[in-house]
Amino acid sequence: MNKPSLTLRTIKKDIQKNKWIYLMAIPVLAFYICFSYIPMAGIQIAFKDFNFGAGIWGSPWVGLKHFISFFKGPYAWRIIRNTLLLSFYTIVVCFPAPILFALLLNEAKNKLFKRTIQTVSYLPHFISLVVICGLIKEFTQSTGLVSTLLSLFGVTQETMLLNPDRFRAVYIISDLWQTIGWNSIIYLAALSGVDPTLYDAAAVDGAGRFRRVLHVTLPCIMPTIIIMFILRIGQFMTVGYDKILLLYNSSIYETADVISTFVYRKGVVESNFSFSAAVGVFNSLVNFILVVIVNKISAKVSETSLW
Amino acid sequence: MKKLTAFFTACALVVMSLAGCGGSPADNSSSTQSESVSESTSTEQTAASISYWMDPQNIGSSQVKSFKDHKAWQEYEKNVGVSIDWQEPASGQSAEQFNLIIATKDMPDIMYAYWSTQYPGGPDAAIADGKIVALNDYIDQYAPNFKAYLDAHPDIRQEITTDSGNIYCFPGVYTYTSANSDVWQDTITREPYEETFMGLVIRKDLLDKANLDIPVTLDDWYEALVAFKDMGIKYPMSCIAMMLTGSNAFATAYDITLPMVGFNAGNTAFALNDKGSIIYGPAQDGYKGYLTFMNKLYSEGLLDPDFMVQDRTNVQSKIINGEVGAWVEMMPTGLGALRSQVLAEDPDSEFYPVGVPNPVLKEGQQLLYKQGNAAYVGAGAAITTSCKDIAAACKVLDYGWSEEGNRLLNWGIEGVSYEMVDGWPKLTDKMIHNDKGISASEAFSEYRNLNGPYPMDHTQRLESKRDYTLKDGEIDENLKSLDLWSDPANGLKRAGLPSTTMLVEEASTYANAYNEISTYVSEMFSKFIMGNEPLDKFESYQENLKAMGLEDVMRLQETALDRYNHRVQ
Repeated sequence: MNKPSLTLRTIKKDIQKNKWIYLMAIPVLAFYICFSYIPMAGIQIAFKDFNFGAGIWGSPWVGLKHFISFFKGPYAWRIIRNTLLLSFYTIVVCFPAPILFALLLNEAKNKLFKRTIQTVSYLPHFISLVVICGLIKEFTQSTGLVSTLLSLFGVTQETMLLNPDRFRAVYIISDLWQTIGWNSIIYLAALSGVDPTLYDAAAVDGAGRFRRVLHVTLPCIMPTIIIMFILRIGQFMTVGYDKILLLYNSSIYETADVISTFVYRKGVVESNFSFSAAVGVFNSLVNFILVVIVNKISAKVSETSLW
Repeated sequence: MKKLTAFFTACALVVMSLAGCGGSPADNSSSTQSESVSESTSTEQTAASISYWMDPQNIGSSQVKSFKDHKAWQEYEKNVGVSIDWQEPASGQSAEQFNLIIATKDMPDIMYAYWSTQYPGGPDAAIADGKIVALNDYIDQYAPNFKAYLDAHPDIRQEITTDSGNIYCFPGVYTYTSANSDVWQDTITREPYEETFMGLVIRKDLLDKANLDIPVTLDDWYEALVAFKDMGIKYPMSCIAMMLTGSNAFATAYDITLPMVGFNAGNTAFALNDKGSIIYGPAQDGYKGYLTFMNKLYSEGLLDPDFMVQDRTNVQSKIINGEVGAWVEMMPTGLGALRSQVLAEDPDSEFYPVGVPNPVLKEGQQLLYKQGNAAYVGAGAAITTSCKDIAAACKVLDYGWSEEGNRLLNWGIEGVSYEMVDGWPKLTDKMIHNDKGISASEAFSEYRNLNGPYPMDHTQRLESKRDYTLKDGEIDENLKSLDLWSDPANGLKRAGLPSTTMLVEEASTYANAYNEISTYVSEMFSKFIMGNEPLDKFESYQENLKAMGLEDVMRLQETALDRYNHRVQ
């Protein structure tokens, strides 16, 4: 009997104590409820035959029909494979890169040099994706800058975005260029939090520069890296579909068509909303499972986890 | 304690605002709807206002990007006496926005769209779903001009009547003064007309240099393109995929038509063959011949390798740089303008493009199909169930069918943008020698509208395509190429089907199979041409089409055609 009233009292006390923090949290909470939780009710159309007249609630239930037709269809395996591969390569290349970049910057002693590099590397982040993709398309045309440069090294000069074998490279390398600076910020912040006395101690123990990075810097920013990694894995199945949409064309669907672009075409373009929702639900489920697994592993291995 | 109450009040406020923005989707839309009701009633007291959704691409102008700023539409709104609240989708987004808007319950009052192909299940489904209103009764009551037109042209009435007898839209209709009339005809008299507006263009100066005639057969074309290549022309043939397929260039030699890559509305991949049955071009054996030819052009560097990724401006700058020998042109306001642009940079250039008919396989072959729009292209303005004042909406749409309103949309303002000369409307001198220094057709485009739910005048198109920079005695290649392309020698009938509609119960079967097929076809189209898929895989490609339900699609189209023919008789 006492227990609930006790918890209630603790909560009350906490709210009283931190009322401004609670108040500040409200908009964030409202955002997620409004735009992430309430729309979940719409998931039901994945199990219905949605039609415009009857609306979300009135459309007839059809069970797993759309899931079955997705997995039986000719494209299921292809878009799952493309999504997984693209995401996997992106993580392999683009996840460690900002960490390395931050470590290197951290070692740079000339302030002016450091700042210049930082600013230049942030720039692509502030350019609209549409413009970026316009640039990429222009540069990778048969007479574009990149294709011409590569041809000096014996690569056949061609419109790269028409060759299914080139798409992943174009996507990932441009992604690296776009994100490396911006994503390194969080690591630089973590680096600035490392206690300088640790370095001094290591230096006294005779550790060289490389040793200090390996045994002081890295362990200190490890929790940040792991949290970032878990969050990144959570988006494993959500590759940047807007970028793909802007870059791809029907001749490279073979490697470029991913789950989210497929959902977009099926749903918004072909107005097959139920089918598209079913594919989307499948996508989210996989994402959810991945986060849980990675979080579990991380909790075991490094004692850092989201919950 | 006071603070705590304040906190809970804040929470309650948030919860209430949440209920407003979410709740069940049904509740949500009803609440926004009631808002819009109160809005519209409050505006009605001052003046009627009608929201009108239409893609501003339909203005067809590089000068004016919004109906709000267009002279003809401004005048139109004034004359109708109903204020129009324009709702314009972003460029290139109209298909997506259409799908998103009709999924809500708060639609604009009038929507101009390809209802027969864009709405899942077609216009009958849109009416059954409670999205748009059947206009049959309202036309008699509120649209006298439109009614008069339909009475005079029962064929158009049939085109916009569904299988269950509903009239669903004010259609966009192409019309043309009859060939045996000496004077320009007024709105109600002009006959529906099938317009051909895309075709091949080749540089005559290069042909002369290579000592070649205008190419007629595919072999001639190959020879000419090779000659261009040898001359150092970088892209003997350049184009964008949409226009290459849209014009059906090279394909009609094999008696097939193609789906337009990157354009979802319309069904140009289907055609009626000489026996009156439907063929689907990309499934025919002749398609392999077409792909083989295109693959030859591509692999030998005769076809611009960027044809799948570039846009029209890329092609045009290549043309102006003198890097292109032949290309596909659409509604050539272009040929004369291109020439003057080239001459501006290099006054000695011999650059002289001419429009040519689509090539044949063997000399003397009569081409079956040509590019062309049906008189009723399938796009029309429907009145949605969200409309609170159907009479006002009808009034807005009906004005375009009156002589006054129709002239306004087609020709702009008399004395400013056009004048009548010997019974024919002509562009004024003010348009031709405008003070902005732009071409006559561009200046005119600020005053005339291109597409919309009213009888569009083909004479207007011809007048705006006229090359006003010519000196006496020079041939207008713009008009000449249009003549060549629309000539029966370039094809007996147009690609595509009449406006057939699917029954509600057939619609999803059809859409699922057809969407899958057309995705596959557009993907394989470029793969075969670029050699990413060897052509000996063509038979397995045909098998795959069957597995995706091509037979269902064909059967459903056949029965829809039967229903259409039945309806028309």
